[in-house]
Amino acid sequence: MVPKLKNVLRKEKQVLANKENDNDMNYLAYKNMWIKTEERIEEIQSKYYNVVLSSLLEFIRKIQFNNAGHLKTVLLLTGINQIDHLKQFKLVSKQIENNVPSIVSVLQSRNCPSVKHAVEFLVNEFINQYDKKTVTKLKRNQLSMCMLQSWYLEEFQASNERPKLIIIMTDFEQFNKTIVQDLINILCFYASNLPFILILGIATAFKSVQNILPSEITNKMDINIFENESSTDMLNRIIDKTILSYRSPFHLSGKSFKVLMDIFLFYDYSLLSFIQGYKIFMLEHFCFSNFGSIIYKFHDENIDKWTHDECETIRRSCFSFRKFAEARKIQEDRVNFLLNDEFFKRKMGKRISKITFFWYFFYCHLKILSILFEDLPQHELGKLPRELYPICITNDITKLDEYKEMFKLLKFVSKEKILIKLEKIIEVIEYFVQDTQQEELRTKMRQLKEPFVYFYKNIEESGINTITNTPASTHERFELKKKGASGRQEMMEKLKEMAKHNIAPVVTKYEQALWECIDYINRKMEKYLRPLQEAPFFYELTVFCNYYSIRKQIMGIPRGALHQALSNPHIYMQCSCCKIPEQERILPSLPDISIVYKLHLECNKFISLYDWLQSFATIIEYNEDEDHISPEVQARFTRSIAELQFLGFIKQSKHKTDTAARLTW
Amino acid sequence: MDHNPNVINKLSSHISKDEQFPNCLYLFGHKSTGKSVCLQKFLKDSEDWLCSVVIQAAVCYKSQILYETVINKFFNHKLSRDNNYESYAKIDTVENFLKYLNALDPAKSFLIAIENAERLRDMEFNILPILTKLQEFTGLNISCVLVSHIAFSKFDLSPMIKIHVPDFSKADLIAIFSNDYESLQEEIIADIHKSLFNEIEQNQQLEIVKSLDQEFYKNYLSIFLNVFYKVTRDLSELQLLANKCYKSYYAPVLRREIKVNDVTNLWRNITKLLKTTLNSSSLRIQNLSASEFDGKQVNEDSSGERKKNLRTFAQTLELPFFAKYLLIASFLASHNDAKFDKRLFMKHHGKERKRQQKAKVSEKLNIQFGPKSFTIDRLLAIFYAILDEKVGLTCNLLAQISTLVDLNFLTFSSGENNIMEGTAKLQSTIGLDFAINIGRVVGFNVRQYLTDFH
Repeated sequence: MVPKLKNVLRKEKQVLANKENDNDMNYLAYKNMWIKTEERIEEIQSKYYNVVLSSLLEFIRKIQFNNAGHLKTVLLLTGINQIDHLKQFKLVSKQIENNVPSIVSVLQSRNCPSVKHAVEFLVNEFINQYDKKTVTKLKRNQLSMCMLQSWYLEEFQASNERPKLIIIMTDFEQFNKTIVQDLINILCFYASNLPFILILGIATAFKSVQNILPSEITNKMDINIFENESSTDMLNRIIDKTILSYRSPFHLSGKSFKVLMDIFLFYDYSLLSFIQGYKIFMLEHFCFSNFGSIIYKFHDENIDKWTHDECETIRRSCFSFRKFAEARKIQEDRVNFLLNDEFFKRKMGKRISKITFFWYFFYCHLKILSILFEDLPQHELGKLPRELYPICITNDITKLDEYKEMFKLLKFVSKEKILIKLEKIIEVIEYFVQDTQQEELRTKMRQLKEPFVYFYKNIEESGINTITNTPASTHERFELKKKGASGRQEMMEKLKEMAKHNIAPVVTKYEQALWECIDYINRKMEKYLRPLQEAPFFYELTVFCNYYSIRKQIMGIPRGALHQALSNPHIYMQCSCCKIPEQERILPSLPDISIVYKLHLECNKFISLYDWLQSFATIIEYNEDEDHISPEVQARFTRSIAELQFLGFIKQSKHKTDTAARLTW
Repeated sequence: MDHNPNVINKLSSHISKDEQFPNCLYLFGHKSTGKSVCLQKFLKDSEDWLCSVVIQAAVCYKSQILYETVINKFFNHKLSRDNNYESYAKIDTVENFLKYLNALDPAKSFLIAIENAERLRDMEFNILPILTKLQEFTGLNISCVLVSHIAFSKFDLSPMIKIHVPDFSKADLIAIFSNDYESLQEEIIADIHKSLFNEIEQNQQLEIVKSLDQEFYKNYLSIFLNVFYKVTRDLSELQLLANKCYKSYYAPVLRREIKVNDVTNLWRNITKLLKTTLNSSSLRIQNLSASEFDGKQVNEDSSGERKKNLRTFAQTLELPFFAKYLLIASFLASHNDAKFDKRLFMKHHGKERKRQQKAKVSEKLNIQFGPKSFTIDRLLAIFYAILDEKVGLTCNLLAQISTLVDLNFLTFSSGENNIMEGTAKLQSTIGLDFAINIGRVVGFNVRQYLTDFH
């Protein structure tokens, strides 16, 4: 996580260093875009945190302190991605301070290597926040709970509303067991005199509290649980609202989107990391592919303002455009497209709005598809927009067998369900209509809506009474229902049989209406859910496809990088002397550690230091007298060995003297 | 609160005015049997001739706090703004402590009471011996009372006078809880006033509340204690639970569904709640409704329910996919012998040599031995072997290991500081049931890869 943050910063710096003038359009465009995105993400996040937060605040406000002396404790089950929660805890502490008369202290596991440190830290925080004057006079050694108590009682003797003392432990599991036990013990003891409220951030589950605290201590506590929404749900929301949104002129290709998703689901469950990854993609796209300034003026009216350089960038990097231009039949056109800026701009005029249209309808149908698939029993394709997106954008989803299966299943959906679905679909379309400013899009979308309204009515009216079916089939259906649970295989066969029956001309009105509707939806999907290759050309401008160029920044491979650096230092040093045709070659001009490393690759598990030194010496200086190795070479060898050991490649063998053991393979 | 007159009598027989105190007293009994209450009562009664201080050993994370609290109290020194919250003197060694004690007025009598005295054993080695022999060191009429819940033999001290505080009997508990009757009654009335019923209803209910007499409450208590007395004798815990359940006990009476004196029906009505409360008695959770209880907590009574809970715990646990596999891999590494790795995880491991079947009688399963430690390399090797996909050894993956350590699913058993060298060893802390359930979530059969089940 942290390396990723650093990467973002480094890249940003790099951009600034490359183009010294601050007016660099690419960077500005990126910055502009990012700020907007970030704002939207933060808005969503704070909205969701607020749900937990407000109930938490309400609870804290209501707490009454009596003399029973139980330590009031709040467990905040936050989920596993702890780094994300630092932000949330900051928000929590700020909100508590603003809304409840209280003094808040945030305690992290790194603040308390011992009970003494923890207590001193807490007391210092509490007093420091209330009056800075006193605390400067106090010695560190003096800070104790006893002291806090006398300070508190003296300070708030007269006031009728005494502030609550709130302690937030952000990462409860990471605290040392004995320290946290002692600390809570101490807090429990003082809880009868001081209004402590303990808030514990728990990443795993309630059970961990039992694992860490013995019942002797939990007996003295008064525990209340609050639970966060899971980070997956949160991510779904962020993705739906910001990343998979036609409003943003920046989209991800299936591959890059999937990579971010994979990191999230497989590795860390961290929203922060996901957002940083997205940011890096954006930065790369805007600043290094030079698309920023173009996207900044990404509008049909602004096309005149494109500079020559920008036109060149487009010509060079948009393969879809190149294909288009090269397919022109007239030779003159072709030349003009590639060389004449004015001609290029004139011809390209309407193209940009086409891309916007493409995304607008694409996302709308993606949402509709997700609604349709929501509660179907099979889910090879996935149900959520985030699962469907990479499939739809890379392939023509309508051609996939799974997709066809799903649509077949749709034909068996009950009336209530399909009505709910249609209602949701109409809502989505309505949302899209409201969401856009462009009249053209609105009217188109409205046209799209009308059939759905019609279908809704149609299906609703097709009452169950109007069934004109053969009694046999109804009977069969009944039977199927009865046996439903007996076995899947049987069910399948029955279904197959039923499908055969259904082809029979006798159909209920409801089925007819349903099928009509589904066929219509299918047609629309075929029309609008097109993969990227079939998107209007220029799509490269709006889509980040260049994942491989920044894979290293997204996914660090420490061992791989080390190996590469040591076996081919030229990549990093860029000097002519170290250029090697193949990786195995060893040149005397290579850095010592690199030579030593390459030699050790040739060895077995145990390496005799003497042989190693010999081969090292023969490489760096050819010497007739083999027995004599100069002290300088020995020193260089020793240093390299030490470095290798430090990097974790070898260690001293315990079984044989003067032998090193390899640790990596 | 109740106090045991016997104990106080014993205390005052040893520590009485104008008499030479014993060097040290040992006051012991189970947790929350009223040791501190007795002591406090005694100290309060003898306030005018005895200068005393009560210290929680658990609070003294450094000995300085102990010394300074004693001296502050004996010299009647209070921390305040005027003295900049400084102690009477800075005392961080025993010598200083004794020096200041010697400066006290010899005509007075002093007493130091130390609660949770067993914690003193973990502090500096000289504290306990000195506290037990303060008279010899100071020449004052001073005594020390050690209050603890463990047996005296665990202290390794020379013999001293011991006073035992017995457990509360049921009758004791009922007597103690009855003190709460008045406040509970007030609470009920307050609740009714706050309720949304109209005035007539409220008045009727208030009428009924009057009929909930002491006897009614005592009846409830005896029902309650019949269930809970076996489980815990912790007074504060019982009190909390009793007050919590009382509400459901009288509620049907207020609703006029059950008559005040219909004990059988009242009993029937409350049993279910008592049962669920019993299962969660040690957890102290306030805002979980009864339905949530069975989902989240570990039930110590029936193993079936416990398994169900583990499953939900495993399913609800929010862990990334690979982290789950790492967790399983760590479990396998901890509970399999390394020599079987090849056989378990490689497809072409060659023929298994026929072992001579020696009758190993009552051999224990590997699982029952507790986790063994393993290196990170072995963990990764097993991880890659059980994972179908091919994934790179990336930072993100390695970071997961430390995340698991942070979350207490893995612990370092040795070599925490030399991870790079490859000698660091880890241990898995999860149990078989949990591992199996995690495996079920990701679709992996854990048993299949354990030598115990082959």
